Amino acid sequence: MRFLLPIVANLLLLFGAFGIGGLVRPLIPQSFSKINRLVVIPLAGFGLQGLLLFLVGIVRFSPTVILAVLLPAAVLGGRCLSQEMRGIAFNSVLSGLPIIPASVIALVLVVTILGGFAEPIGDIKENKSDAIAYHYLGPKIWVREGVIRPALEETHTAFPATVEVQFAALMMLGGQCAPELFSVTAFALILLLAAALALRSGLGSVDAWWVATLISAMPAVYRGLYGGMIDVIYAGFILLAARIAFDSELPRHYLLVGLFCGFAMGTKYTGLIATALLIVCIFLFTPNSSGRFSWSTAKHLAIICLVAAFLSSPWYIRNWLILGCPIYPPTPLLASFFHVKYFPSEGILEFHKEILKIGRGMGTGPLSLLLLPFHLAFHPANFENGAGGIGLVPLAFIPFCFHAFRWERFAKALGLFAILMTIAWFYTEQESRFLIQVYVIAAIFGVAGWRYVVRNTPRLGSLLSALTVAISISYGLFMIVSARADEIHAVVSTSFAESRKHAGIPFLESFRYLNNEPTVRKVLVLEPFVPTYYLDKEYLKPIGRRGERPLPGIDRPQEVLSELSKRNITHVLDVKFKDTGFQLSEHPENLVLVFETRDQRIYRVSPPGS
Amino acid sequence: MSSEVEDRTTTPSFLHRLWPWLIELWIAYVLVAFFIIRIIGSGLVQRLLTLVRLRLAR
Repeated sequence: MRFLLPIVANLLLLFGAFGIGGLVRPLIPQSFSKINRLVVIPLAGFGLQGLLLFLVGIVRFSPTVILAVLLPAAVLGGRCLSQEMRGIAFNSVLSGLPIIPASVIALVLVVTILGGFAEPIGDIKENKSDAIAYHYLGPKIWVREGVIRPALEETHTAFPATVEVQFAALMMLGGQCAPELFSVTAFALILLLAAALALRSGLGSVDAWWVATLISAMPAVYRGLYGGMIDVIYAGFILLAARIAFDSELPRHYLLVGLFCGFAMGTKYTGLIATALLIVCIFLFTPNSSGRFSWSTAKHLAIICLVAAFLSSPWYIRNWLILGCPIYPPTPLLASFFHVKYFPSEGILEFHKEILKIGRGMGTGPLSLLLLPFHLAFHPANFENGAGGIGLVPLAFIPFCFHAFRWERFAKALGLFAILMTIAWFYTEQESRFLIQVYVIAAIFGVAGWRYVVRNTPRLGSLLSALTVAISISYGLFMIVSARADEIHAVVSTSFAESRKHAGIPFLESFRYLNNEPTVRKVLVLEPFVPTYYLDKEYLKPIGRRGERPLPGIDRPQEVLSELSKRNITHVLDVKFKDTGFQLSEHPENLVLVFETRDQRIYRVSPPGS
Repeated sequence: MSSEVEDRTTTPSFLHRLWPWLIELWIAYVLVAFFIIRIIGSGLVQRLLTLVRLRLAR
């Protein structure tokens, strides 16, 4: 059951995506090959499924509702998949399989599958685990409370959450590990998409395999698909929007572009910037426009904007209505225009200081921009979540791809889009995983340059190229496998899994007590940095880790102590970190100490006079 | 006249011959830089070198 339930849940979600995504089949350009269709349909499905679950979940997010959405969709998905798979000659695909690329991809796939069964472990202090802080926290709360609503003590649960909503469905159906296994789907989809893009860019099928191989061995890309990260799916939405846009001719094609832009905007705020940049590239490079303004171009761009805005609007309108600002947490500029609730202005400023600090990378000056390709290749760990980097292939071979491509329109558009996204990333937040879509394009251009080098320098150049590719892949594999070694070890050894939990989950003993004690109904968590993801019971955290104030008028956790009965609190969790003390005095009034261990105390609420 | 023709033909041919060398030089540079920065400069190798230095000093 430990392995079966997450697998079944993920299959149901994938089939559901095929079912709902099948609705967009009439919009797909006729020129698209099977591989393109097999990427467009499930990714469109994940976008629509996330939106549908969100819209339903705002009202009610119960197991019945989730199954009512997923089961019919999965049945449709089975039918859609069988129709789409018809005519694929698997024998010819398998017979032409290049051994080395296939082996590398298989190895990473096995690592991803095994690691996908590990329990999510992590701490929220010093931003150690985004998954525990919000990617998985939101879904867990939504499933428990039966409604999708931002957790007010954690601003990041108000982010657009097209993917996280589906994590919630996975959690409900397959338990805590099921969202981790979603990384397998994300991995397969990004490789298929990369191969489809490579083929469209003019590379051969063997080259497309090498593109997929290089991407699968890029630790910086891999970081965006496991541990609750949603960046690979987001990159998939952006890349597909670009893939379709640069070949669009009819209004319905642009409608599909708008769909994917809307999904990107409904997954991450950065989707807003990517959509704007894509529109610039479409204006300059689509067959109908080519940089000249006409009513037909304006109509097509308007279709994209309207569809994208319509599909992403539920997230932004929800935030505006509940939290006071469409983008929440807001930028300091937006905060001056909107009346932001539950997050004091000091908190907003601190948050943006932190973003600037994290996103500084290796500097923001013009010289740093010029040296960026070198920095990304040689110092990737200096960019947040970038350890391991993207290998040497982009730096070594992209300078020669200019000769290889002969600059066909599609490649030009893709290249310009990558450059614009990199510049936008450079001047906003230089966090490595936010650039995954560019890394995918870089791998395609890198392989094109590699082919040119092999053709033009047959002896030493070929040898050096082979060495470059071999080092990139082996170093990437080493980094990926070592990053997931503990998780894989925990899957195969229960004793290691237990010791991993003790080492990785702060206040584990308290969580176990609170989760297993039947009298615990609602817990007051006094310390902002307690990772409440591990708490299975309802809780109240008066102050968030970024200074959020979910209870208006309450500025210190202790102020809630006078309202315990009113707020139906049955237990209070008090902990201390190395640098702080307990929040409560030794013998607090109306509280009975029921559990104590190192740095952790749990009190039962005892009504006055009892 | 003949030298003019020769000049016109030899200049591109020289660049043509140089170009593969430039490509190889660039890739070799990337590889060497990677080895120096990522392998020799890595924490593990630095620790090993320190251990060797300490052992030799004894």
